[in-house]
Amino acid sequence: MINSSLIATIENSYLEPFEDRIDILFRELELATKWRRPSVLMAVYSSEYVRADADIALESRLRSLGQSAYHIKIKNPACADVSLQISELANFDNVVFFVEGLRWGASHDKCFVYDSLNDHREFFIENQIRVVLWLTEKEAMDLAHHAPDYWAFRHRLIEFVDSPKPDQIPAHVLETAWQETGETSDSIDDLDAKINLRNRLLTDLPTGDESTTTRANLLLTLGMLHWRRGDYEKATQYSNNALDLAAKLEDNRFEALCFNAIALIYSDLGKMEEAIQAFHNAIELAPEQISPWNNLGNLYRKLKRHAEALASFQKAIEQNASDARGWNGLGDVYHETGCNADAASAYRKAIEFSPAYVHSWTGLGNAYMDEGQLEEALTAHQKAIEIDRNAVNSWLGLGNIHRMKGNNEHASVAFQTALELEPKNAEAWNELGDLFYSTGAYDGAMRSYQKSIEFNQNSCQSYRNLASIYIQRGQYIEAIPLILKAISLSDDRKDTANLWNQLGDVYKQVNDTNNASEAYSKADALDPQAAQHNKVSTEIEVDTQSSPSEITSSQPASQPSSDMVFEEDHISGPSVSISADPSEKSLTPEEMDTNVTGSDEEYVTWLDGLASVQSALAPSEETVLNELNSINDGQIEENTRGGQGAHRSAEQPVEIPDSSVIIEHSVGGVTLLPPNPKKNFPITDEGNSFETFDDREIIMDTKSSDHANTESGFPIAEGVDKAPTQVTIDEKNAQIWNELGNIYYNTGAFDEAMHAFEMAIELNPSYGWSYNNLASIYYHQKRYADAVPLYKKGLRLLHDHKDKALLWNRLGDTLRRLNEHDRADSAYRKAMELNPENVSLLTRARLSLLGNLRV
Amino acid sequence: MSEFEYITATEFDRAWLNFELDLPLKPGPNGEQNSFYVNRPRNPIPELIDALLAPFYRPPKFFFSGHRGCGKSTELLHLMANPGIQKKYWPINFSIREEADIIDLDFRDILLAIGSRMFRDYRKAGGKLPEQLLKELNSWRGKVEEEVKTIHSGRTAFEIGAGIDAFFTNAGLKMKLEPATRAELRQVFEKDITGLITVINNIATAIYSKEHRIPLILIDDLDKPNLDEARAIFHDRGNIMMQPNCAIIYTVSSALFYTKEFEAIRNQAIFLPNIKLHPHLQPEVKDKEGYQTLRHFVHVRIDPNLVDSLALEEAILNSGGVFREMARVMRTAIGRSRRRKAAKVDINDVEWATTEIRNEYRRILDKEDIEILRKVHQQNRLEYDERLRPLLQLLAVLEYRNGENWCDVHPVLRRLIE
Repeated sequence: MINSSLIATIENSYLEPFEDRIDILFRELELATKWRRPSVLMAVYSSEYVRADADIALESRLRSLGQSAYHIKIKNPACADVSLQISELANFDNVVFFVEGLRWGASHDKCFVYDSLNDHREFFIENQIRVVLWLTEKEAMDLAHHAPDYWAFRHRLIEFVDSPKPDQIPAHVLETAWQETGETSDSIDDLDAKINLRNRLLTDLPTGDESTTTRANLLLTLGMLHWRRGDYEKATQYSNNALDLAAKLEDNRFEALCFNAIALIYSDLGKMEEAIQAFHNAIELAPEQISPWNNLGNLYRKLKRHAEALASFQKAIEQNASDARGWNGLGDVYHETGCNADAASAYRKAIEFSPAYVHSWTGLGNAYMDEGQLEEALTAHQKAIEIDRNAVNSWLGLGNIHRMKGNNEHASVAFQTALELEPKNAEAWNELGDLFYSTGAYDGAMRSYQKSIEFNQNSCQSYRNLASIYIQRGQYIEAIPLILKAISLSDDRKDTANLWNQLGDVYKQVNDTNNASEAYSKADALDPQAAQHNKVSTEIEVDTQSSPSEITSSQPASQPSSDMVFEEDHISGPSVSISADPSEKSLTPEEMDTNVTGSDEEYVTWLDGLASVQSALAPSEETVLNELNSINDGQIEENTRGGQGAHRSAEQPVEIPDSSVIIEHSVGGVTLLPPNPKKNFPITDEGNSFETFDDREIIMDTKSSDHANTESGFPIAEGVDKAPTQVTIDEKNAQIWNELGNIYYNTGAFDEAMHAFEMAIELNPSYGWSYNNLASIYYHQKRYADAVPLYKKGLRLLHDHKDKALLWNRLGDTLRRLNEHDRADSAYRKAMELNPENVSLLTRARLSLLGNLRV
Repeated sequence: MSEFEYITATEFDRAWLNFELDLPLKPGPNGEQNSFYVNRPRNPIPELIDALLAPFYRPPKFFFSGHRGCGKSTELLHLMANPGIQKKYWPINFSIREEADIIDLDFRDILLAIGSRMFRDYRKAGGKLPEQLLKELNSWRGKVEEEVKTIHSGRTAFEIGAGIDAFFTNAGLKMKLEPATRAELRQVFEKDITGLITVINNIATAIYSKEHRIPLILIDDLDKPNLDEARAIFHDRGNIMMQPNCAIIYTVSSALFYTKEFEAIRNQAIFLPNIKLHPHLQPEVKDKEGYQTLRHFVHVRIDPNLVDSLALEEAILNSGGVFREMARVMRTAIGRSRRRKAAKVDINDVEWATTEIRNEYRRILDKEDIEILRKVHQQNRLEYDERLRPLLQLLAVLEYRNGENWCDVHPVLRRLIE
């Protein structure tokens, strides 16, 4: 039973508001910092959500002191020595240590973490350590009993045992099903109506033993309704009352239901151990009931206790082999532990028994995606969305698949939809950020990552990605705390090692060799195998200041390996953009757009951000809409099965094979290297993953001298001012120039790209895409007036409706910039006419905006 | 802060600093008393000093214990500075943490530390030991290193130090930091513990002979190891620990003090009790001397004008007579006054502080503990048993001395057990 009376006693005695308690901790640390004295503080909490808020609030205030919070999370007994972890930091002066997870530092018979704290307590005092121990109620008790000397050393203990407010609990937390009353998505009004009804019924019930059963049922239902509403105090009260009656009724089954309900409440309050115990109580009373097993499995899964989760779901299935939730739960656990084949089987089982079970379709989609079976994944996610349009996770899945396939426009739409449904979905913001990043739209990426962090401060990925952008921009100082935060959140050894390496590189950039050395050592310690590789790669000098055209013959190949390190650390899909010339400011439209009016300014900026996603890779994506899918699929096929790559027909639009190619500037020439092998395209025996004729030729051109290879007519870019000697119409070479232009475009080398497209047009004036591509560059350079005739020319040359629709859209964008709204409107409508099935959210939004502007 | 300034605070920030819970009170450069030092009523240290100054045949050994936060380290520092002690003894004060790993502490580690520190500190102070002794010590060193090599089956050369100076400097370090070396050295000493004792005695004799003062070794932080280790050292190897030919004061934990095994040697033990605030079984009666002591404790640290007198009385009451708890109550109350930008600490601040401390205990005590506390408060009877020991360690129960020893619950907990 929830000891609410005890909680009430403690809470009543503590009348201080949350902010005041934070202030107490802050003031202690403020004085300790001022006097450079130690501070051993303890904060006891009962809800993870409240703890998280307290953590964030305190950390935020510490920044005003120039102090940063260094998080130490105990994950297992092996890392239970807190003083050792602290001592590994070079400098404690500006750091306050936040320590949590002490319970994981103890096994059932050994209290490693408490012994260690007790034995090393003087370490904290002698080294003037400022530490805040975040303790659950049980941990506080264990600390006092197993480490009484350390307990005596405490300076203050502040309690945060309040229940979380409803808005502190993310909506998706209410995910575990209350199977008896069904899983619904009632509005607050609906819930209130249901509650009111039952309250009336309860009041009207006759007194006496005969009404006990009915009363108990009503109380339990009221408990669950209040739980759904997020009103945990009432939920607790009603559920406990129901439990009391259940004992009186001697009805094990009902009592089990009550415990199940109480467990759900505990779970939402972050009181995990209590929740587990309550589920076990339910199971003990009525082991044949399935929902406690499934709920327990979900809880274990949430706590990453996978073995126990599997066991619980298997138990549920043992009770009922056709229990879709049990199979689904198994699928979730398998998926989380990387056993995707097993996950897919389990999800398929769930679907077999419950074909409309959205969660299983989503899970199946994700399992297929992780196995590289993109088409199957696509189908599964689409099915989920068909059943329930609000299946956010499937929208995210779709977005990822489209991005993997290079279809950034569709990916963008999918992510946007997910965000429409759940504006605070941190994962969706992160995915959108990745998409922006992959297209070089760094401002958009930055904003998206920031949003992701706003909604989930524990996302290692988002901090890392945001850091990558700062690094791209040469803002190394800003990147440092982000990388440190990512390190503190990372729970994968290799990833953490990579982050330390990245941090080392950043420190090197700011000439902080001590910290750099420290960081590299930490990386080496975590991943000794990578140490050798990194040692070699970091020896290559970074030359981030010169743009490609500035590189002279006296300079070596200067695509820096440290940039490669940065690149690798950016977590995204396969189409990772290569590092742009840092001296080149982002040319995304949102930065340059000055044509905004009144309250639509922000919205226009947002739209323009999307535009950058679509248009930045427009040539590659749009010129090979059909080809790209098949060729990329072929490449994926190749990479997963080791088969041969697809050959591209010379008549098809030229594709950008993969935007993750890295351009290295060598002496007077251009060399294309294979994509980043860590992504989806492993290097084949020949040292590159491209089997196409064109790619091979380009790659083979690495050693050629400064003059063109006149035998094949194969062009070599030698810089902006030089041009090849061939001027006759040469279709094949036009395509090559166009392709080269696309590659330059993706690297941000716009001058070179412009030249390449001009060459393509010169060689083949009837190739519509070259005009489109060149127009895109003018667009990015705000030369809107110059872009218009090129789009028009392209429109005249292209025949496919979809292709034309795309160009009409682009033209609409350009005309909008020129304040020619009527003409822009016409262009958009033309696009819709030509391709009504593929009218994007963006297009609709733009029309709506233009409609507003017209007033 | 490079050097702590022991000055009375005239504002709350400084006052917060002055009430740091474990502030070491070092004597002045000329051995004068620290300005924050407060002598306690019926302080047993004078007894200890008398015992040390009394004539003896064999250099005395004492065990020194006390509650957490009662001021043991401070009293040891002041004992050392006592002129009589300085005249009769050549004092060496160190923490065992400097010489050994307190997580894995063994009687051999302590003995080696005694010998090593005597040798090093004496040499550092400019003392000259006879050449012959140095020769003998070197010979012993060589034997030890040979023995260790034997353990290695002659595979590696083993040298701790080129000479005896280096040996004593490095041996302790290795014992502290290198578990493997520690195990090897222990093995060697186990075979010849008499040899190690002889070394200690030789050094002690040489110092005594030269200085006409007997070495007095004060070893702090021996109360930190866990109970099992402490038993193994002071009970199982008690005889050996009494053998060195120098005066030694071993600190022991209050937990060990309360065990049955320690009963046999309790007559050699000095226990630093808490300040008595009320007579035995008369909680409503104030012990004037105790209150005066703690008033003094507060007023050397903070200007009396910054603390309301009623608030101070309330704080003293709730400290239970433990210096550290007094500091805790005051620091918490000062923190509150500071936050509300008050001119002085008032009764509400102190009540708020005691509530906070009470809630800390509420969190860690279960129903059984509360029952025991109720009985303790009723009877004030001190029993060194397994039930009471954890509560004594947590300072939920405090010990006092009034002819006989007795105890009572921490005053903040009275409301909890009512």
